[in-house]
Amino acid sequence: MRNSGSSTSRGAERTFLLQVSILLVAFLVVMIFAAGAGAVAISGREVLSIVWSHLGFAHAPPYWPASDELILLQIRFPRVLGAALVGAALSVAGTLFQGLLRNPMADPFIIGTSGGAALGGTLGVVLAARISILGFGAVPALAFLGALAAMVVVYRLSRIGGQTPVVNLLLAGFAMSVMLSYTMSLILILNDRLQLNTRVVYAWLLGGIALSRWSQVGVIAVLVLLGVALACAFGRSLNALSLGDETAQQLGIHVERHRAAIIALGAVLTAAAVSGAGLIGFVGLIVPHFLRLIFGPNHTRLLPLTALGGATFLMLADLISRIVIPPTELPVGILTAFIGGPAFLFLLRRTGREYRF
Amino acid sequence: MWAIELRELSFSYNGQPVLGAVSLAIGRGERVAILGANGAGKTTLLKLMGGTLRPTRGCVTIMEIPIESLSRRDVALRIASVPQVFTVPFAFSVREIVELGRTAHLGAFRGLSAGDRLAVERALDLTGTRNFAKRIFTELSGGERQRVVIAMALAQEPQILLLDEPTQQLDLAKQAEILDLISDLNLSKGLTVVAAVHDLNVAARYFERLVFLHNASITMEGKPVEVLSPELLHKVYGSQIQVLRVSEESLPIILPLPESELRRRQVSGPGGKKEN
Repeated sequence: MRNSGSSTSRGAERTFLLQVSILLVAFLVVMIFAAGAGAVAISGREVLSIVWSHLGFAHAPPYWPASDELILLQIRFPRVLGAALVGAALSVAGTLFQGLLRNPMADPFIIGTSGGAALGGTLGVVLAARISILGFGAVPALAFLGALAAMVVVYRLSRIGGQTPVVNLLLAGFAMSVMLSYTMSLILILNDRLQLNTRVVYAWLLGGIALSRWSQVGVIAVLVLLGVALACAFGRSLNALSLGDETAQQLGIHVERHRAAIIALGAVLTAAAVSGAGLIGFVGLIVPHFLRLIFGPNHTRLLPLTALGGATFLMLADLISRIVIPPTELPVGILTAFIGGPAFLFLLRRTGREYRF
Repeated sequence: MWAIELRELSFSYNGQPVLGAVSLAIGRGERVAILGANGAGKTTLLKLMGGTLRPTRGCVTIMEIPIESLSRRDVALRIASVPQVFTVPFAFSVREIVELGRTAHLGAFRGLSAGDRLAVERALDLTGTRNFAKRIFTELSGGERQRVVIAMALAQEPQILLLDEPTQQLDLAKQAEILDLISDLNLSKGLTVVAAVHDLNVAARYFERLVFLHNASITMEGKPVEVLSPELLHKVYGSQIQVLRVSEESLPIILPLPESELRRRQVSGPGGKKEN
């Protein structure tokens, strides 16, 4: 797939800038299109004009109806940007886990990290309904703790003599996911008997972009942007870690510290994504995998590229799930499962032939 | 000044002693081979020298500095290792792998400096890997891969190079290439080389000092001509080997001895035992 490699470092930098530019253009085009599409269609030109005027560049008086502006700024953009943030978070978390575990099958959904975050988040929702001071902040905080705990347990269980075989990882992740998902059901059932409204939680868990207010998007945005920026700082050490712990150590990496930091970052990003959009599977698997095939495995470049690519991918998936059978909105998790599931099975078959550990 | 000094070094794995009170001093610019039967602790000894394993007792000093007082990065600036098994799960190019040798010299965000690039180019040239620098590592042959791993270690610009079985699974010509490369680096750059070696004949030809591990300690060490006696070899490897010597000064040639031949010799009495 990739034959160019990096001939000279200067040339490689230029190639990287080009790759970022291409993805950035794709990101902007999809964003404008996704913001315009819906029950009230708004043309791309109008979307640009409205954004332009709000950034303070407009000279001419507005030619669009005020309702369009309201829909765009208060409904569409929070949703579209929410999807972008969730997509970026899941993809970067996937890239982090794949590099760390030296395993292209690792995905926050598959290895149970999302499940941990969902359980934590559910507790957050239930508790927040009872103790109102906790507010929206309780959901990401508990989701983070859940994600971290699930990740650490799966990692410990699947690791044998410094290696993390595919089979162990998948089995440990599967067992963890099942346990977490039934624990969650138990909490919801118990809570239902106490006559609390749990329909919200069910809808959220199915994986729909639940971010509809700017304040919610703001909380997620801070977590995701900070998480992605920090993740990019670990590109070099992920490259070294993908050669194995011992080699990474011999290259001068403090393996234990870097590993802990990468796991924590992956958990933060997963928690942010799950808090905002429930359980969305396979994004963290297919986006990094696809981009790695095109752009190569160098994590210093792959991490920013997957952030952009993942954001674009989920905006697109969310757009499709909104408009495919109007007026019903499919939870985007269903769509990514339909695309990602077969892609995962295909990769798993190929793994048997290509990756040896 | 010693490059590496081991003092009363012990290491146990799951309560089983692997090495017991081993002491060894390796001078700067020496070329040393560690020998011994399977499971004698050759790899363990190298890992202790490289600091990836911590000794149960005793201490390791690198350039007169105790290794535990050096950070991972400081160790990596002095010692580079070529491991026995080197697997790459993703499609990294050869150049990307060699550039990873610069990890200890770099910060998180800073790209490769002119000096880093120079070190990478030099490593590619020294190992003859420049002409396939753009290729994907996992698609290379065994000999090519080994050169790349050595290039990565050289890009680290170490004073000490540790190699674990650098020629295993290579054909004879490829073995000679790799070993010549290692000897050249030692002779021209003054690089201290310590290698775990399986093949006795290879060790005798390419290394100036041999260290034999047996029963968790060093049984014998010295120049190849001096230490490769039938007595020592029978002690370390058992009776099923044959030591051939053309003359008193020449290096011995060591071969496995088929059991049928061994039995024939034992039957034919004391006369038959006098091989040398």
